[in-house]
Amino acid sequence: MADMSKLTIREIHSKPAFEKDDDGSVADQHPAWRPGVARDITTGFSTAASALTTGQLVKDEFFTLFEAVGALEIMDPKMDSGHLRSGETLEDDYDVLRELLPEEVIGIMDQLLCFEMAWHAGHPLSQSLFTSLYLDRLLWPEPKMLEEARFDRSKVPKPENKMLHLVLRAYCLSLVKTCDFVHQRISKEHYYEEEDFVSNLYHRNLLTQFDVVEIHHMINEALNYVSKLTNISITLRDALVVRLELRSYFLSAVQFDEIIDDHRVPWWERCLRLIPALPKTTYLGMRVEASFSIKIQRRLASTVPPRPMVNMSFDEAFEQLTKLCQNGKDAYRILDYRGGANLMRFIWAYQSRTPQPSVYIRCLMQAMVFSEMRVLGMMSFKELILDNLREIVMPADVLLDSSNFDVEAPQDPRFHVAKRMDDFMATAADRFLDIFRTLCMNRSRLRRILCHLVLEWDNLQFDAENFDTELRKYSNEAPLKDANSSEDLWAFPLSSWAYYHKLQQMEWIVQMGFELDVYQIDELGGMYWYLQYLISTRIQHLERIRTFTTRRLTRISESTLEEKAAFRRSFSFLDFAILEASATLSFADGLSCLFSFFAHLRLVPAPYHDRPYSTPEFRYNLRMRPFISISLPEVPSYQQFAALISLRMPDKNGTYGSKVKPAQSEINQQASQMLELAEQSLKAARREWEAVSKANAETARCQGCEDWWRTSVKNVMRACINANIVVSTAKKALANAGTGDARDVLKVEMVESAKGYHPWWIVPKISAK
Amino acid sequence: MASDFSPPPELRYVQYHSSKETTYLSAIRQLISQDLSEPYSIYVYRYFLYQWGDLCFMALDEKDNLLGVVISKLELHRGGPLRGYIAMLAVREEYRGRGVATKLVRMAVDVMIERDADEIALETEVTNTAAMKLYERLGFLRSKRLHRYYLNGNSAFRFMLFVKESTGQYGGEYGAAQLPPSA
Ligand SMILES: CC(C)(COP(=O)(O)OP(=O)(O)OC[C@H]1O[C@@H](n2cnc3c(N)ncnc32)[C@H](O)[C@@H]1OP(=O)(O)O)[C@@H](O)C(=O)NCCC(=O)NCCS
Repeated sequence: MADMSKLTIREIHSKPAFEKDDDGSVADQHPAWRPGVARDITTGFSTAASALTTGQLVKDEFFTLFEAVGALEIMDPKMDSGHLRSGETLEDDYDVLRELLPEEVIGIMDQLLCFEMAWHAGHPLSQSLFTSLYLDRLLWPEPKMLEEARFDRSKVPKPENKMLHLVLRAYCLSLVKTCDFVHQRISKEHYYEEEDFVSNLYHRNLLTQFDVVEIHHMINEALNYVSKLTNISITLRDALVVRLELRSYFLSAVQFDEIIDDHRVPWWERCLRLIPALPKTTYLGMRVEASFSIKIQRRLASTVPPRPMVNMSFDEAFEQLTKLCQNGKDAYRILDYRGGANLMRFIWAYQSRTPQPSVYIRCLMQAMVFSEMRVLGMMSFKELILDNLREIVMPADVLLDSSNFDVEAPQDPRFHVAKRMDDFMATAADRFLDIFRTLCMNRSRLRRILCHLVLEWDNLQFDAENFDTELRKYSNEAPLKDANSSEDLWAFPLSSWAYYHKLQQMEWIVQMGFELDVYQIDELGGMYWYLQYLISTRIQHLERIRTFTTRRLTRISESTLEEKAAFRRSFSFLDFAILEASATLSFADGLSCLFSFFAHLRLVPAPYHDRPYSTPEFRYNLRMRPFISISLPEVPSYQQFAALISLRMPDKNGTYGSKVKPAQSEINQQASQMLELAEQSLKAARREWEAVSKANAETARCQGCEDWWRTSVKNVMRACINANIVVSTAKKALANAGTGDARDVLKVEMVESAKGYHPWWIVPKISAK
Repeated sequence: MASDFSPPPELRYVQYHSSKETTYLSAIRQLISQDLSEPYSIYVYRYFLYQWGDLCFMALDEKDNLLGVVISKLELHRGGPLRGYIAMLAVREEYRGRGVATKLVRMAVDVMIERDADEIALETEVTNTAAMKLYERLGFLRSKRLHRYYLNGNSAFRFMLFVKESTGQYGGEYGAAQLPPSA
């Protein structure tokens, strides 16, 4: 059985195993070690220690749980990596210089590939690639020239044994150089150490200083040699050729440079074409287990317990490599910029693939989104924000006119507009960028970071109001009159923009909760209710934006073609956003009603009933904690919430609080009313999602990711159809139950988010008994 | 489940105390490390037991053999709420499914509440059905998922329980913002 256990001792400078959570930080307070004069303290120490009883803890204030977890017990073979069992030798006796058969070379290559993929998957080098005695020999002691990176570290190179000195060496060196590029790429971006990737190189250098051209040269030499071999079978020869070529292409694909364009795509494609040849020939390989040793760990890191080699099967490694190359190739599609909404859609669609693209790929995407102060290698961040403002709230708005930013005369109002806009963009830049970056994090982090980010956007919305008020005098805005109160209504475009993004993040947090299985069954109905509450707020907001945009359009006496196009683009965005939001709202509402229905009949546990240590209200507060300090929309109080989602449910004892249990017929009657509501919403959802699916790529903001987006919409529709089927099954069963207990005729089973049609839409399984 | 058997009447639940170290510590270590891929050093146990011995409870049979144990702590969480934390919990395999762990956790939680805790937290592997069920029944909620939390690469859920009226502040749990740094 699994347990907290595997959480264990971590290396010093890594996170503590308990309560380990990057929402805080671990202070690093180890005093630096200073060389000094050695002094024997045995006697003094023994005397002092004898004053203590066993179990008494002597620690200074710096000795934290983190230190305790990092501590090792010397001479315990499970913790002390230097400990030798009796008869055990320190070094391995494998001879890296022995003659190798071509079959053995293939075996070693494939084993190395498995370890390479394990490293990509987040395992440390010490438990993967660095267990290879061949790699160890090449990399340690550190070669000063590439010529020194050889198995035979002696000065006189021996011409024979080319399988080893030429073929395997070229393979290993290009493998290491590939890892170097991968490591550099990941290190430059944001990722979570240990969680996503272990960056530790154990004082080894991955041939960073050597030119990739030299490595390619070596592969070519090896290829040349192998392809001329006549004393081995063609199958063997081809297997070697494919492996060497793949190394060369893979090396080119990941080559690290600052150029953000799609010139590396062909390399990924070449990899993809070669990869299928690997599993067809892996059977030719002979494994050389003895050439991998865990003993090398002793020289890599002495402060951690010995840890086992990671066993990734060839099939698994092959699968990973294929995904890596496919994702690598696809990532570059992002460079075809079609506006901020499309960009966001792209990253969502791409990152929602299962399994999620690996850390290297996610870092590659981050680099493409933003590096060297450019977005997608082609525009400034300011341009991205301006474009997004135009798309959502301010099409063809004088406040955003590019020429404003060229005005230098302070008496010109445009100068002031530009200055204020610049100030606003400076405030918004990091937060806007953080949305895109956050979408590239692992899924668990994504949800957690959004919980922080949304607070920043709450502040931004507030700050933006001040900018809006100030800018009003330059835009000549005339307010609308509220029909009821005749109050002035202003557009507040910048804060509207911020509010829009904030609302969307709030929805994502809730949706990610479904995906990550964070909610228990009895919470689902309430969470879908909260989701629809957020979405209906966003729809109202979109409609408000639309009203002001329409009004601004009518005030332009003769709009230019350019202006017309800008407005058209914005309306297309708003209209589609409203459609998609309505579809989402209906589905969420339908599921919320469906879960209420189940709870009402006690087919699933009643929502938020009392637990030994917790009241429904406490748990509701805990669940709503990410949103509680957001000013707008306000989190409903538990009382409001309970009333709204009709939590007048039986508690776990089957009683209704102080009230007498109503008759079963009455319960069934109410249940069928709830089911009716569920049915209405779910039918509407089906229609609306159908409409969503019909939108063209430009309208749906899915250019560049149309295939993925359509697949996702199709899955939502399948989930929706499934929910509709659940409703009709339930209806029939309820009719059969008459005035009896529905539990006698119906059974409801939960489905994990990953096992349904779409991870955001949890539709339970239902069967008639 | 073995729940058809009623718990042996001889089972005793005992609060730990440092004076009991020589009697029980090695048994505790053994029981806990059964499910560990890597053992904790002695310091980890002493860290908890010496400072929060009263938050450790043991289930013993009539011969004083250790059948189950819970180890926890109670501290201010980043200067904010007083947070109880259940660090280790294990029951001998043959005694599982009889409510032993539930009883141990309840005893620890009771002391935490008595000592004015605001909230209680813990982590468990996402596949640990028994542990999740146990905590959820008591009123804990999953507050977040922790990606590849354990050395074996498995993910965890953080479980939380408010035992007091919350201050309503979105602090504690999500505390200091950890946004990706601006490039
Ligand atoms: C987790 C553990 C401590 C539970 O101990 P226990 O004494 O069996 O627990 P309890 O009997 O109090 O309660 C466990 C509940 O989980 C249920 N359960 C146990 N195994 C289960 C399984 N595989 N699937 C579903 N439910 C399971 C039990 O039926 C019981 O619920 P019930 O009373 O409704 O029937 C024990 O399994 C253990 O020692 N595991 C290894 C260490 C570990 O995982 N520690 C937890 C770290 S957070």
